[in-house]
Amino acid sequence: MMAASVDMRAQRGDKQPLTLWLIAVLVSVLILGPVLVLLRTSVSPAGSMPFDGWHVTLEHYTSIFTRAENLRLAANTMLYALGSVSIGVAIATGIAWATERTDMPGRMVARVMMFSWMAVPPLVMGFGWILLINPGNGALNALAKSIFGLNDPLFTIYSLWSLIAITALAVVPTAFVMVSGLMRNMDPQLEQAATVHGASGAVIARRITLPLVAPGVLSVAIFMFMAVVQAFDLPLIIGLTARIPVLSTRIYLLSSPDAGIPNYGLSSAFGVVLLAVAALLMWGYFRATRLSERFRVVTGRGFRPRRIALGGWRWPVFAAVSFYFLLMVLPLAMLFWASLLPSYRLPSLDALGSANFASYARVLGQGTVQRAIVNTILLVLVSASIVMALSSLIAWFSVRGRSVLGRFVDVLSFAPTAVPPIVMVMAILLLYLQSPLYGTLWILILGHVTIYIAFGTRTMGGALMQIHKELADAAAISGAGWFTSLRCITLPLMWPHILNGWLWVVAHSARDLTIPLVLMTTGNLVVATALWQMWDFPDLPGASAVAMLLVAGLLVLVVPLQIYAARRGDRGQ
Amino acid sequence: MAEPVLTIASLTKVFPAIGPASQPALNGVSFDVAQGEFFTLLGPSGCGKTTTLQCIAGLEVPSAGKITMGGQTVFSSEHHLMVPANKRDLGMVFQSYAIWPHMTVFENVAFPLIHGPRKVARSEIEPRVREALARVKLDHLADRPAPLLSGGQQQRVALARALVHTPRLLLLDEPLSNLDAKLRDLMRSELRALVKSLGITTMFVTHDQVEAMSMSDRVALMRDGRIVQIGAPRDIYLKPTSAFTANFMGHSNMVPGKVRSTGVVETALGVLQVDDATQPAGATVFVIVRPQSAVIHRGNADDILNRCSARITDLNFIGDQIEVDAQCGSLHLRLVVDSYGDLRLGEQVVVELLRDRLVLVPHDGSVG
Repeated sequence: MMAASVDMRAQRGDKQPLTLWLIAVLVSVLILGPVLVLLRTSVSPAGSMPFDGWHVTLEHYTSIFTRAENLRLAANTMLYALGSVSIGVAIATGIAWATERTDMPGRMVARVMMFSWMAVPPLVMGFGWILLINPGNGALNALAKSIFGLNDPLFTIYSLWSLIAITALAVVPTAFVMVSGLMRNMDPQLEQAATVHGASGAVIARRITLPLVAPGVLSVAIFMFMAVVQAFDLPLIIGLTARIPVLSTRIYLLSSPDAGIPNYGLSSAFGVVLLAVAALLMWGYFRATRLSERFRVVTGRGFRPRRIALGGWRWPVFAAVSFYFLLMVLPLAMLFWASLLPSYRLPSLDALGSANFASYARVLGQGTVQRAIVNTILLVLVSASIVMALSSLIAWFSVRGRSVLGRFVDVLSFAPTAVPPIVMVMAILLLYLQSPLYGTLWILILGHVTIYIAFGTRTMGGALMQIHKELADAAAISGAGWFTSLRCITLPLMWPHILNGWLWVVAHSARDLTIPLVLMTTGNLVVATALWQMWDFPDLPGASAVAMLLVAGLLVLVVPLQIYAARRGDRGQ
Repeated sequence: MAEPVLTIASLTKVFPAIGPASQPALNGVSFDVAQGEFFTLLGPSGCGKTTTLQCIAGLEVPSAGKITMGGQTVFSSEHHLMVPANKRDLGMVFQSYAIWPHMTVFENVAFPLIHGPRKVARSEIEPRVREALARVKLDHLADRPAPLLSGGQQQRVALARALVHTPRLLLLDEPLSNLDAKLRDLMRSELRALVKSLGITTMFVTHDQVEAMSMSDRVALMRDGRIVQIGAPRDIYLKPTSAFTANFMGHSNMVPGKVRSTGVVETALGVLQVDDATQPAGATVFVIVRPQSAVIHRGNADDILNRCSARITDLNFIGDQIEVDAQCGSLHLRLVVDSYGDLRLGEQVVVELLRDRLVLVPHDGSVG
């Protein structure tokens, strides 16, 4: 029996330390490498390439903080993020209340649509809105002209306010997912207590429900603010034409200018500033979530939230929620229309006659599109699989193990949340520009693994924490080693979460434009970048067809799972 | 006593400090458990009983000390030796039961036979699982998915799983605390009968003194990471050696006093004669008066030893007995009489303290 004992220094289990060390090195290279290069480049003289010489200068930072135009840039960014987040989170909270706490008809469909919306790239939304309300021939503008007899266009896409409004609509689904979780987990007894003491439905919503979810909603708002400050696609396609640069697009233009040579030094310095802003917001987010912890209303007991009967308000509430979905579907419908015609015409019965699917056949026959599709499939499958494998292991080590190294890896893997994708991809570009990786699909995979690993470890960490520690302890007592325990107990229990996370990464990796655009070469075109190029060319019917194909592909993947999850959730877990 | 099947020697556990001072969770805990014994760790929450159990299980690494099981050292800080939990050949019922929700009842119970250190031939698994389930009267539920079980059934599955591979030691971590009162009473006797019939040595952890006393062969009472007293339930209840033990094991009236000479104590109730001679003359002590160690007399009782006159201030009829509150001078005593007593509120009585039932413990300032 003595042979079974092992040295205490190795007691944390057979191969664990080695695996953990490997992961630590890998994650450090992935995340710290680019950030260090970014910092180095931001203090390099203008015109020099990364790794050229040792000269250090603060000229870029001086220029950032002294030039007046940068004040406007900051104000734009601020107004843009604040405006779209306030509107978006307010709409999301309203809809979440309607679907989770009331008996509004069609609430399950609403929920599935919200959760499935991650299948729609912001890029595609933006293109749709450009077709709808551009001042020249926007469909809605044309409609308004014919109805009200106006001479000037009613809307214009190219303004800060349009950018804010469209981003707000795009913010809603993500904010909804987070806020509805808060509403769903609230103990209905708190509301029942108010009913017993004589409060009406409206009073309960105003005095009980809203104050209870307020701290949670605030932390959601900060999180979304962080996301919008980092957002790149919508400011790129709408803001640049409108000449409203924000921080993220400025960084892009400096490193990939239309004319002239890239100014990597200044771009990196801007990147460092944006990184600092994001880190500050992150700190605020953690403070706010700590506050909401104190208000915690999640009791963990199994209960079915009691729904408020809307009575006569059922249909008005339903109409309001439906209006939001109309706004979401409109740009997609517009793109679909554009994809059916050989050359763009305003929607009319007359034009419907010449509608066909020729554009689809045309784009699918193009070699570049075919390559882009193959590349995209490879990119999303490989990225999502690597992310979920890595983050499951990291979460397992940090939640279950108690080593300092495990915690270090955990914190490090969360860091990319504070690094805006546009900054991260800049840094990756700088680090790998002269390596053989540059220009291949692998650098895109590397980029997506780096930026989505934070999501993966958070999701897996949360899932793992829900799995009672004693379940794994029971396996150990029964005689199972750490690997058997992981294989037979922990992984089967985490499987639904892993699948869900995998799907999330697949959807986001497929719709992302930031990483592929900055690292784009002829060799690593993906669907998002192909779409961007066709739009820019311009090949409107072709771009619309590719956009519809991308959305359709993602919906096929995402919707069935969301329906299944919603059904299961409605049955009361 | 035969060769102990489990020996704990000077076990110490210090958790990494979170606050300024880090008080050890375990501070030199030592005890032996004999083959077949039902041994209980009892104490208030935070006393270190669960930490001790986790150290025995191998789920927690002690800071110092030595653990021996049936002659094999499974932990020794001196020799840098730590046998991991999965090689210790144990069975354990967890507080949450830890029934794996993605498996059936059968798969849960079969797990130790398939993945444990002493693997069993394939053909033997089925009969042994059936036998274990029959033992806890669940053989009809073998194919049921684990989430579709009631709390009491889950507890039985956990027990079957812990016993299926006949481990050398069964560990029970507050297994009854999640059951409702009636089921708890039933399981108390059933659990003890089951492990006794199998002759398996059992370590039981609880904060409930009734569970501890009714189930155990021996009880170790813990406080602040130390063992306060070890003994048979009857000894611990009737012969507490500290104010803490007296208070934790059911209700006690604590009468402060000073030992004048052996068997004679000066108190606020007057001079008391006691049989307990454990405390030296001159010591400040508490005289422990259990509610059952006094008799209430009505009318004249001058010839009685250890008497004091008292007034009934409260009567609390709780069915199987009546709780009586009596004011004796400046002291307040909680006593019990049987349900058929007819004492009245405000009545003047004489309380007699029975000298053979009074216990002296040191007045250590802490009342627990």
